Amino acid sequence: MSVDLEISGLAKTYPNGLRALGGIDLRVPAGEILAIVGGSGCGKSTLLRLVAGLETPSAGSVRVGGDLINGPHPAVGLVFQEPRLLPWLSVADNVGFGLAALPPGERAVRVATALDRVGLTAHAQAWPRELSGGQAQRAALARALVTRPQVLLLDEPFSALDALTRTALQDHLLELWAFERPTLVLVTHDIEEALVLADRVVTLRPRPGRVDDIRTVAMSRPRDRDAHAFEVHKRQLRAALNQSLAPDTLAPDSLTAAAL
Amino acid sequence: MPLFLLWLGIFETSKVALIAVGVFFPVYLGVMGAVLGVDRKIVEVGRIYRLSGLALARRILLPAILPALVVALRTGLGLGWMFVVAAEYMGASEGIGYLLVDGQQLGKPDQIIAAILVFALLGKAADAIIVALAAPALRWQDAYQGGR
Repeated sequence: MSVDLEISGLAKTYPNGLRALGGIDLRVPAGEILAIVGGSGCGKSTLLRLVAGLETPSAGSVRVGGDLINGPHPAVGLVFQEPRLLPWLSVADNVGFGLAALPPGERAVRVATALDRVGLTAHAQAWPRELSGGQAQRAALARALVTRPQVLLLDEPFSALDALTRTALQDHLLELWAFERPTLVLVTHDIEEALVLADRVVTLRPRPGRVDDIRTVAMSRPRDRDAHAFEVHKRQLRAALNQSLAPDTLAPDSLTAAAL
Repeated sequence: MPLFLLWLGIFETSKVALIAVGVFFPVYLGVMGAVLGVDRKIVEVGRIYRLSGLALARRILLPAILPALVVALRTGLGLGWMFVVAAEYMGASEGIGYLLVDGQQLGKPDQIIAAILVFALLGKAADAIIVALAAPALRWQDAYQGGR
């Protein structure tokens, strides 16, 4: 169950005059996994915060299944870079935080299912401080997924984790995604992460942030990070990313040189 | 205090008013400081789940400031006992503060020491009650526990 996400002419200029986003047009069909990559300061986090309704755009609009976003929307879930679990709630209560409107019995069932899916059933009554970094981020994933969002946004969700945990959680995210197949938008600075997860990868060009390149990742899942095809995709995406970081004034020749 | 005595009389009202005014502002400042210091990132979690202003205060702000609130209340309580002495010092015919003044003026050190001990015990007991009441709500705290 998922819906289309439509971003049209989306721009954000902060009161201090900083142009974070300069007109983004993107259409994410229902159930797609879209990765957004770009250098620091390219506005990728701003883009996600606008889609989540945490900030208001200066121009343009975001539509989720036809609904105009003008604040946090019940069908949109968000996982932050940090777990942001509430330290005064048990892991189970954190996961059930967004289900306050449900009767307790139903809430308990939903929370138990979510905890089971992320493998934290044994830690249901633990305090967030007792979890490891990877466990805390799994709890954050469970909290976002338990409300069955139709669009799930992830803001560099695994960037604070060690390499092994990160790889494991990337695979785990795909398993979780397969349950309800929400439309998924992932912001990352990790090329490999984008290629492991995404159907399409968008590269943003900074100052102001705008779409520089969109490429389809035509590899079947699960994807082997060591396969030759994966390496080829990686090289191409890295080249595209380098090109997006090159100053606008450079000639095409020097762009290619910089990419190699 | 002289104004309180003039306006509110020499009985309990003026003393209660003095203690209330003296304790209110330190506690208020402590709580306001804590509210302003609540992590924006935690508040955003509440916003994502579309909590209304009241629900945000109850489910995010209140638990987040609870440790600081307890500290502010303990400080306020300690201050309150000091104001009790001050208030009774200046115009009372009974109470522990009065016993202090009385002991000083009539040269009864045993009475002074007894009054001080009673103050100390009451203060400690009141503080312990706040700590005990708050303890279940603060078990989540991940902080240095004083070697426990």
